[in-house]
Order: sequence, then C-alpha cells, then structure tokens
Amino acid sequence: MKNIIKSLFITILIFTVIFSTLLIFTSCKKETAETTVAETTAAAETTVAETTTATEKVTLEFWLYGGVEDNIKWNKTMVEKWNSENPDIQVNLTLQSWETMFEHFQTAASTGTMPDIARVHGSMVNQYGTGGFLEPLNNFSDYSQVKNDYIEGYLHTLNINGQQYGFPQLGLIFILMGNKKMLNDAGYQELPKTWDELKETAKKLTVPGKQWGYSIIGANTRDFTYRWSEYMFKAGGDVLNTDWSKSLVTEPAWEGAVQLFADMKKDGSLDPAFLATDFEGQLNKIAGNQVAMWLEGGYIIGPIAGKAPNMELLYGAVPAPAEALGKSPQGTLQDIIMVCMSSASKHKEAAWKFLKWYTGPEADKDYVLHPELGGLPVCKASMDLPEWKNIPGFEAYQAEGGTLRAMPAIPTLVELIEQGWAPSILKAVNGDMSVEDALKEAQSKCDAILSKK
Amino acid sequence: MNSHMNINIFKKTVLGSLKHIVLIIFIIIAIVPIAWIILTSFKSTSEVAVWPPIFFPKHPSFVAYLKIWEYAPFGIFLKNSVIVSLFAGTFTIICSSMAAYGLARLNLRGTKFILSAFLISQMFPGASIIIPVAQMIVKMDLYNTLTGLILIYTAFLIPFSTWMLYGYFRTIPKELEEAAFIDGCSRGRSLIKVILPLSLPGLGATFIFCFLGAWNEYLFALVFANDYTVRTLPVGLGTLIGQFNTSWERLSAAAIIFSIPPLILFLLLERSLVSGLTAGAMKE
Amino acid sequence: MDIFKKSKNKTDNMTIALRFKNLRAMSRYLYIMPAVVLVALIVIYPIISNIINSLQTDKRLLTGGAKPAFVGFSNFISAWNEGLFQVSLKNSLLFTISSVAIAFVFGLIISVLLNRVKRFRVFYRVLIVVPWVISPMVAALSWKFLFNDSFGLINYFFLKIGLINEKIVWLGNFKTAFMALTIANIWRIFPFITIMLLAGLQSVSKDIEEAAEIDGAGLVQKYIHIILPQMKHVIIIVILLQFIWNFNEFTVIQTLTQGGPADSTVVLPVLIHKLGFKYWRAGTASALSLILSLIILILSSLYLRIVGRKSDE
Repeated sequence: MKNIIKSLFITILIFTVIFSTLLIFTSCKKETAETTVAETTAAAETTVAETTTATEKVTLEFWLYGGVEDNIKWNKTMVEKWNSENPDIQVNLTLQSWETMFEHFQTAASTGTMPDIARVHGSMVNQYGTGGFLEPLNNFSDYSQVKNDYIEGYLHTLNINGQQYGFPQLGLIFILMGNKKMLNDAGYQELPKTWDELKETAKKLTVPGKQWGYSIIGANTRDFTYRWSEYMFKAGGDVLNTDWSKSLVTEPAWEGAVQLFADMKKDGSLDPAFLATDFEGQLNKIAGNQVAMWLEGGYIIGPIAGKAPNMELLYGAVPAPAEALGKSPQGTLQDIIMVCMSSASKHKEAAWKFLKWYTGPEADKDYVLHPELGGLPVCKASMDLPEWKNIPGFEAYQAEGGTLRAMPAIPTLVELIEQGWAPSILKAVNGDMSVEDALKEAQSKCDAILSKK
Repeated sequence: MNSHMNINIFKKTVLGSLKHIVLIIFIIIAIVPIAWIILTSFKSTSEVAVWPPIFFPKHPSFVAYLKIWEYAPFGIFLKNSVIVSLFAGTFTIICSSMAAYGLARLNLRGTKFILSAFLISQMFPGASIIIPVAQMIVKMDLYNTLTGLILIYTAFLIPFSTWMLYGYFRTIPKELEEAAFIDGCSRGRSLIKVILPLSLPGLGATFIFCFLGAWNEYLFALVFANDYTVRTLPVGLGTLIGQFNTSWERLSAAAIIFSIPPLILFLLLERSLVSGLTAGAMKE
Repeated sequence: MDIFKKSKNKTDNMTIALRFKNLRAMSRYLYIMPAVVLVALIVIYPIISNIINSLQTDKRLLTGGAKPAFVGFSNFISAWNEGLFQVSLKNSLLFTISSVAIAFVFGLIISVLLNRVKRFRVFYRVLIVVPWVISPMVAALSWKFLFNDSFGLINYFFLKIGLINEKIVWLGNFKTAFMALTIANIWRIFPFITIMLLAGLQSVSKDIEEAAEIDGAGLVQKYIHIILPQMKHVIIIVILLQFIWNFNEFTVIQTLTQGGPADSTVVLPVLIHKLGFKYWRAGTASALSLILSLIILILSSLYLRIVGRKSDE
C-alpha cells in the first residue's frame, strides 16, 4: 500500500513541479503587465482629477519587417519620438525577419495574434486584405481628408475593391545604376538608354573571368522578377489581361525582355553566377568592382557606400526597346513598402492616429532629406521640397515617374511569380531552354494557377 | 626471418600513421567551415569578400561582435535560449525516463502501440504542423511566452528520448531491481535509486540531444515568440540573415556566439556521451 | 497509513484488496501519463488537424475565416498533380539516400579508426563532433560562404591544386547546387553517425575481436563478418533515424538555395512550406505532408522488414 501511495505522490509531485515552474514564467509576464496598468491608473488618478475624460494609456504592437540598416535606425528613432510625444499611445517596436515574413505573418493571422500595426511589403494586401485580416483604413472618419496627402498611384496599389488596406511608407522604383569609373574608363559618360545600347555597353564592359557588364539577382525568384519585369513593362507588356483571368506571358514584350537577358548571357556580359546571386552577393560584387551595371532601388546606395565609400554611381532610366512591343503604356514597376493595421486590433483609433503620423507628410519629408533611407517619398508635399532635386538618381526617377505600373493585386500573385513564370524565364536566360519553349511552359503553368480560383 | 620482421614493423608503423592521417583529414573537413567562420568574424568589412581570400585578418577586430549587440538585444536572446533549452531538456528527461521505465519494466498494455506512435510522430514535416500547434498554444494562453516554447519542445523531444532511454533501461538486468524490491523499495524509489544511476551515461547523452534540439529549433521559435523579451538566439540569427544587407563578418560573429554554449555543454558531458548514446539502441 | 491498519476486519478485506489491485494496476500507467499526454496534446492533435485540413477546401484562409467545405480527396489529387511534386519527390529521395549512405560510410570508417587508435583519441573525438553540435543554420551558413562563387574557399582551393580552370558557380546550376547541398548535409550528419557507431563498436566484446584475430581473418573481413553483425541493432536504428530526419530536412536547403536555382533543388518539405505559407494552399500542403509521412512510413517499414529478414538468417 505504502508503495502505491508513494509512487502516486511522486508522480503528482513531478507534475506539480513541472507545471508550477511553467506557470512561474507565465505569471511573471502577466504580473508586469498588471503593474504597468496599475501604475498608469494611479498616475491618471493623481494628475487628471480635473479632466473627466481620463485617456487610458494604450500600447500598440508594431512589427517592422526588414529593411536596410539606416532605414531600421530611422524607424527606431521615429518610434522613440512618437513615444516621447504621445505618452498615452505607446508603440512597442519589434524587428522581424524579411525572409520569413510569409510564415510569420500567416501564423499570426490564423491564430489571431497579429500586431496592431505592421510594416510589410505592399503585395501582402493581396492575400491579407481580401482575407479580412487587415482593417480597411477608409472606415475611419477623416480618411477622405488624409488620403489627399499621398501620391495617388501608391494609394491605388494598396486599394482592393474600394478598400484601402494600408498606407504607403516608402516607394521603391528600380532604376538602372552603374559604376561611374568603369563606365568612364570604357568611354561612356552616361548609362545606355535602349536595349541595343545596353547589350553593347555590357559587352564592352565585360572582362571574361573578372568583371561583367550586367548583374541581376537570380537566387530568389521574387527578387529576380521585380528586377527583370521592369524591362517587360518598359516594352509595353503587362502581366495579366484587364480582368485578370489570363496571363500574357507569351506576348512579344515578354519574349523580347527574356531574349534581351538571354542574349546578354550568351554574350558573356551577364554575370554567369546570377542564379546563385542574392542581395548580399550582388552588393559584394558591386563593391568589389566586379559588375558595371545593375537595376536596383535607392535603398542599395547606403549599403554600397558602407562597403565601398569612394565609389561613384551613375543613374539612368530603365532602358527601353527601340519600339514598343506591347499595347500597354510604357511603364515602370512600382514597388511599395506599406504600413497596415490588423483588423483584430483592440486599439484601432490609437493605431489610426499613429499610422497617419508615421506615414504622413511630416515623417515622409525625411525620405527626401535622407536618401540613405533607401526609399522614395510617398506624400505629395515632399515633392515640393527643394532637396527633392538632389536625391541621387533624381533625373532617372523623373523620367520614370509619370508611368508607374503595379503588379496585379490578386491573391495568387506570389504563386504566379514563383511557380508560374520565374523558373521558366530563369532557365531561358541561362540558356537551358529556348525562349519560346520557356514562355510556353510558363503560360501553361500560369493558366493552371489562374484557373484554380 | 629478419627481413620478415622488418616488413612487419614497417607495416605496423605505416598502417599506424595512416590511421592518424585519415583521421586528421576528416578532422580538417569537420572543422574548416567553422574555422573559416571564426576567422571571418574577426575581419574588417574590407577583408571579407575579396579574392584571393584573406585567411588571417591583419588587424583582428571585435567590431562585428559589438555591432550585433547594438543591432538587437542578443544578451536577452542568449538568456532566453539558455532558459528554454535547459528547462526543455530537464522536463523531457523527467517525463521520458518515467515513460521509458513504464514501458520497459511494467508490462503495460499498449507498449508497442505507444512506442510506434512515438516513432510515427517524428515523421511529419514541421511546416505542416506549425499552424495547428500555434492555434493550440494560443488557446492555452501560452502564446509569446517562454513557457509555450518549453512546453512545445518538451513534447517534440519526448518521443526520441523515450526511445533512447527505453533501450538503456532494458539493458539493466532485472535482478538488480528485484533485489531492491526485496529490500522494500517501491517502484518509484527503484527507478530513482537503481535504474537512473545505472544509466547515467544514457541520461547525459539524451540530455545533450534534447538540449541541442531545443537550442537549434528555429521555426517554432520564430512564430511563437514575437517579442524581444521571449525571443531565442536562432530567431535573432535568422532576423540578422533576413536583413537586406548584413555583412558576413557580423553574421559570423552571431553564429559564433550561437555555437559556444552547446559546445561547452558538449565538452562537459562528452565522456558520458561516448560511452552511452547507443547502448540503448543495442538491445531493442 | 493508520486507516488501512484499522480497517483490518474480515468483511472489508476482500473488497479493499480488489480495489487496491485495480489501483495498483492503474498506478503503473501514471508513469507514462506525462509523456503520453504531452505528446498527444502537442504532437498528435496537429497531425489529426492536418488530416482534417487535407480533406477541406484548399484556399481555406482566403475566404476570410468562412467555414471550409469538405472536398474529399481532391486535395490529394491536386497534390499529386502539383507541378513540382515529382521533381521534389525525386530530389528528396536522392538527397536523403545519398546523404545517409555516404555519411554512413564516412561514419563507419572514422569510428573504426577511432576505435583502433590509442593516442589523441579524446582530441579526435571532440573535434570530429563539432559539425553536429553547431546548429544546422550555422552549418548551412558556413557552407554558403565556402561555396560562394566569387570568393569562396572551395573555388580557391580547387584552383590552387589545379582541379578546375575557372571559378565554378556551385550554387548556380542544378548539378553542382544539388551536390553542394548534399555535401553540406553529409558534413552535418556524419559526426552523429560516427559517435553512435563508435559507442556500438566499444560495446562489442573484446573476446570476439581476439577470436577473430586468432582465426587469421583479414582486417576488412573481420569487420564485415564478425564485428559489424554484432552491432546490427545500432546500425539499423542509426540509419532509420537519419533517414526519417533527413527526409524532413528543411533548414539546410532553405538557407543554401531556397530550392533554387529555378526550383531545381526543391525537396518535399520545402514544397510543403511554399504551398502552406506562401500560396495559402493549406489543403494541398496538408495532403502533401500526409503523402510525405506515408512515404517515410512505407520506406521505413520496408527497410526494417528487409534488414530484419537478413539479420535473422
């Protein structure tokens, strides 16, 4: 009998030990939360005896996904500034990984643990907006005034079926960049403007085994698409037809743009390691004078300066074919980093206040004053600043500015890019497949994805 | 005769040194990648990505180590990782040694079923179970806590460690335990007084395995711990990798910080690990 | 305790004894309770929910939390027809089998040598285990440095010894990328196999070894015919565990190539990850992961059956 009771006792003891230790960790957390609440209520009681509407202190969770170093620093200082100016609405910023944005955000969405505010890639509205996880900002009463501050093209991209799921924080427009010294040494004063010039210049700048005329990121299919499709858009092509039911992959604009890269690869002027090149890899090649030209957003300027402080860069618009290949207006892809609000947020009004300020004209000014932040301003007012003209690559942006295009805001966009066309195009560029066959393969894959609605 | 002897001696010395040569080649293969990371972490930015590679930095610097500390509170991550791994390891050992004892010695019905269910539970890819687990953890109100992580790791480590300990316990002769029963020991007492001391090497090995499992886990830690206060080192390192530009010397520095604690633990428990580890698997 | 002593009158005696017999039988189950409850809660429940998911509408989350509809086995069909399924199944099998086989051979050689050397034994043992102790993430990262095309150590070394004439883009084409993945993975798993086999070798009794020596058997023969059969259980379990774990390997591949270039090194866990998290196709992803576990289950039991039969002979 003794034995039984003893073994029972020991088992129970082990159970209680385990769970009480587990509980200690949880209770620790909760206690601190309670004390802060207690403190604030106490503070409110003592100070705000006269004001009847004692504003309750709220803490907003804010997830910041990725960005270049200077940009992260800027975000941190902005949040600190907000916190010191707004004691009632405190913002708790947590840095998250850009690479794992999808898995992280989706788990949060499906468990109802999304933060109040998040800064993510603009394409997230496609899935999360229509999925009902993001708060439509047009629900707020002063939305119709606030929206006038922003450049319409950006707002429009984040708007699905009349619902505004986020505000832009910075615009990313890819322009052609070049290593000034390498180009000058080869006798070029400015970057090529047409596809033929691009091919020729790239060929001239190539020293086999040592340096290459052109570089593109090919290790990540999405990164590749955003840097390659510029040429397709420039040729007057588009991704989908007007009602987004059919892919236009086999159109001449696509074929031309793929052929351009396949030709450069054949000439040996495209970095032969492009399939293994990621952002950091390309950055190292740029800084090491191994590549002469590339397409990037302004955010790369800071990191280049960090690695090669004396390097001078040339900027130019994305080269265009001699004549338009497609029916759409010649355009440039605009990519957006947005700030959005969770529809499950408990402090929507507070979050709205913060969001307006964070993306609004006052904060946006800094993107003009500090080009190392790596983005373009998104508010109209910033364009009027005199410093706007000094932003690196201003003329190139100016040349692109009027004709901004966006990727279609459909939920299957990521799948279309990663599974639909990018692998086939990469194969065609690398010479493993003819351009025609590759695009046919891509077409059938894209159609299969689009038909799965 | 004499020449025969000479050949024998020759054979012995050559073969003997050959053994060492082969071993040293494998050792070099084993440590070169890590040595390269260590060297990289002390380089300056201009020495990292250059051709031909620079092996030894001209002026070894700790800048990279200091920089990552600036970037995120790696001290807190380190503390969290240690807490989570130690507790998960300990709880796993407690639960699975009890279970292994029960399965190995108490003639329970369903022993085979439980053992095979444990093995099958290892066959699922992490990506497909992460969302249901997350939903459950949220229901239990353990989301974004170290407790939640400890609980998950314990549950995921129990199957394998139960299997290992089950093997060890079966190698211990039943007679030893019976002698203890005659002395008036209860079952629980005999587990603590007889079985566990005899299988200490196995416990050490299993503990290392569990500690490493919890220490290196990335996906669950990523989605369950969103705050700096509860973030673990793998997620810190992952965030560093996931940055748009993180220079390699900083990544290396973070990787080194990340690798030191398990190495220390391994050095401490190395002896028990080698004498143990498979004794369990020997007899099923 | 006093209560039990007092209740020693004759009528209650039987019932109490019976009750205690039951209680005693029950109490044995308390030992396995914590483990079984925890595993059931955290491991089994997700697997069941996975099965349920696999039978429901694919784009579950896209409907904004609306109730998913039951669709039968159509997810399994779409998983089977998924463009990358066959490629990733082939890659998974190739990756797992070649990694485990080569790592096993390495592990065997090293453990035999380690068992036979007397000097520097601890030194060797501690260093050889480094790749296992560090995290898979760090391992993959360090190999990414080494395989880098423009300044990687491997290109430098091969150029120096004249094995190649120009820098090779290891991670930039299918053949070398797959090889690079496998090499990195072998490097990561061989220490564990070495240590397990070493412990197995040490437990083979010295008498048997000496008996073999007297028989005059050659060294290789001695190991194949006498010593290895002695430790067949270790070998079986090491290979089985490595097979299961490597079939589910995700970190190394994701860090090194993300399944690229152009999806040529995608394996099943990476594909499941993409479908589930990026394309919001939870149904297909669940179906695919059930197929994956079924493949592992079938192959493991097949393997156990073959090995079991052989060792019985």
